[in-house]
Amino acid sequence: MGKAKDKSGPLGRRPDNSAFKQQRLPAWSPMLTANTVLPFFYLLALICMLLGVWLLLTVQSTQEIKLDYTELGNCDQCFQLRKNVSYAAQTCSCKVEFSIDRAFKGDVFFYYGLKNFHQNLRRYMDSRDDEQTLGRKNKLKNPSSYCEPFAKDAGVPIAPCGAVANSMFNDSFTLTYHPSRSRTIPVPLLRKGLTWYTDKNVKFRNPKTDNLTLAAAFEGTRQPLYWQKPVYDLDPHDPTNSGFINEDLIIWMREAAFPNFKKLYGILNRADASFTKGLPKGNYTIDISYNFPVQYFQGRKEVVLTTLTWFGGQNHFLPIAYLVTSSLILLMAVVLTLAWWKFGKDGKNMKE
Amino acid sequence: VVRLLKTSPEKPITLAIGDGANDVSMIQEAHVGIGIMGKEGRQAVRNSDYAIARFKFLAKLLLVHGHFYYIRVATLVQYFFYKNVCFITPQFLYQFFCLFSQQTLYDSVYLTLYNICFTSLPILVYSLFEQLVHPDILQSKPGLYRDISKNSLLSFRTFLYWTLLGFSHAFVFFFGSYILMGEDTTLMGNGQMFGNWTFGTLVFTVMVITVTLKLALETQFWTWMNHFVTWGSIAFYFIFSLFYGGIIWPFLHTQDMYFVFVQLLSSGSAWFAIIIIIITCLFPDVVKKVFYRHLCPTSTQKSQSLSAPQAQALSCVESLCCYQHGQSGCSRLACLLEQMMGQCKASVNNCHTSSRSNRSWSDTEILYSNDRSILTLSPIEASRC
Repeated sequence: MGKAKDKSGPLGRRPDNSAFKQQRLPAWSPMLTANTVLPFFYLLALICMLLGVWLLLTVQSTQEIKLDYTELGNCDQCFQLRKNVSYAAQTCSCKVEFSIDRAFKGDVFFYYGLKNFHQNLRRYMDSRDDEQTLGRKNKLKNPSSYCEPFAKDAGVPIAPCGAVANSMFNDSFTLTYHPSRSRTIPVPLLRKGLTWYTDKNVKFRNPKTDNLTLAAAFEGTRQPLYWQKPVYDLDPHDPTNSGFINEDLIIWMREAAFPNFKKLYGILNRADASFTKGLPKGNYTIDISYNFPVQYFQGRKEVVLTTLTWFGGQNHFLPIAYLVTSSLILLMAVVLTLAWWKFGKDGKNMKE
Repeated sequence: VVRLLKTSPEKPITLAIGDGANDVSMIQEAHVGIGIMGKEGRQAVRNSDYAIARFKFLAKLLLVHGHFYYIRVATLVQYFFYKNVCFITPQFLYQFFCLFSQQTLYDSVYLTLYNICFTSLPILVYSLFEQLVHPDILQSKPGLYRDISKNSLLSFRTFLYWTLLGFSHAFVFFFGSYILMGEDTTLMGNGQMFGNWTFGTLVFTVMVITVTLKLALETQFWTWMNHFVTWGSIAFYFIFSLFYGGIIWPFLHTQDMYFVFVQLLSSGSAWFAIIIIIITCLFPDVVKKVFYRHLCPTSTQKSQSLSAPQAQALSCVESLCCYQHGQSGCSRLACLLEQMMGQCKASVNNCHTSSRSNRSWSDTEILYSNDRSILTLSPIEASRC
């Protein structure tokens, strides 16, 4: 049986008699009835409940401390100083004290946070040149027009160009532990390994040096207007952390989704003898080199210390969402069972 | 006369059928004009919207084809608006958080490909193949046509349902993701933070999966093609995102999406969030469907549940079982079918009764087999049962 006949005669233009063209494809016709759906609902409610409880227990083990230091203690003087642009070159430092009641066990992460800073503004996000930070030589001295007006400084190209790089956060922090009134132990923070692996090793590359120093590779460019140091000097102690691959720069360049955000500054170095188990309880001070002015956008600055679990920081939303959803599903399943029992059992309603 | 009917108070939709040149003006005047090719020439056919060969085919045209096509087109239109509402509303909601600066939530490639690649095929296959009820049941129960009369599937009520569903889903996508990421929570175990492209990708992923699964809930007739395009669309989205984010694209001044998708997927939190958001969106819909089916089922739904065995018997009739003077090549298939469906032997006796119920079939009409291959021709000459 094939197309043996010629396409002629009264049946010549008949469409093909295949299951596909005659809409007779074999198919599965599911029907959403209570018998099929209810066991599934009960199972789902059970699974969500178990997951919710598990996640809740995991989250309970995290600890977090937040400190808003914009005007805290003697940081207020720095805050007033930074109101005046002409003193921008002056350094200002202040101290903030806090104490921990329960020791932070495990890895401790040190973040800085900003409030009311819109890194998600469109013109701000467009104002960058990823090709330049990729290390492409032709783009180093010829930044993209998207970077305007932060592309050139009196005719000299800026590296890295753009508003994002220009507004880089430049406060620095040193943490100290006071086990007793007289002793102080500096808390060592790892300032590497903070970025995505692909960011540090692929997306951001220094222009090729060819045995030149980093400073020479950036010859012919200037630092962004708001910076105090040129890009090749961001980390004088470590050449693998200078230039475009500086971790603070990379972290800053990953724009946050919302106006209140935090970014990773350092991780506790647990190789140090005093801090192998984490942060012990007691008094701490943070020495802050206060540079970043926030009053222009009514912003706040804060410091966050937190421990994490495998699924992230102190976020109660997930476990609560799972528990709430499981109880709702259970409720609806019970209501549905009752409705089915009363009205629809054995196809009561289905008779015509 | 047709014009008179059209202007009557209920404003009915009129259908006129005719086969001769004198029927042309009537066919043109009615909303739906049907011409019959016949002894009186082709005049009527040339002026009509639809042409058929015999008057008796009108029953199948109206009750089966008309019913199916109406459902398909109506659902297509409603679903299209729904999925685009789901698509655009999170972008709008994001503006409240980015000072209305028109920053997009999703990357421009995703903006372009959403309607072209990620969500186009499932609805296309739905609108080609969807069958709510078996065609034979539709023909034997003309009353089922009343379920879709008066443009009920495109009424204001149905439109409101789909649109409000779209808005509520979009709110759940956006605010679910927003509360999860908590503005400043890390989702990774190593402390690294996500950026706004990762957030947008999370919303987009949840959205693509939910709108596809919503259509899967609406589909009642799952052919292999439906399975292929539904699960294939979701798989394609994942594969494409991995591909797109895995390359540093030359000649682009921004590499926003580089490795964003992989980072998102490597976060256990994000996976849990995706699952809970999808469940939250689709669960009320499933409950509503089951409730309505049990508390106030439509006649179509009643005929769906009761007539499944009847339909099976019919398909057995259509199969080769009846025609034991097996025709060349098909007799082997007949034996196979008889072996697969054990009851075939008994249904030989049902041939008489069943064929009588199919009023539109005549004895001399060529009957076809329910073969499983999609593109083979297999006409069988009918023989009297």
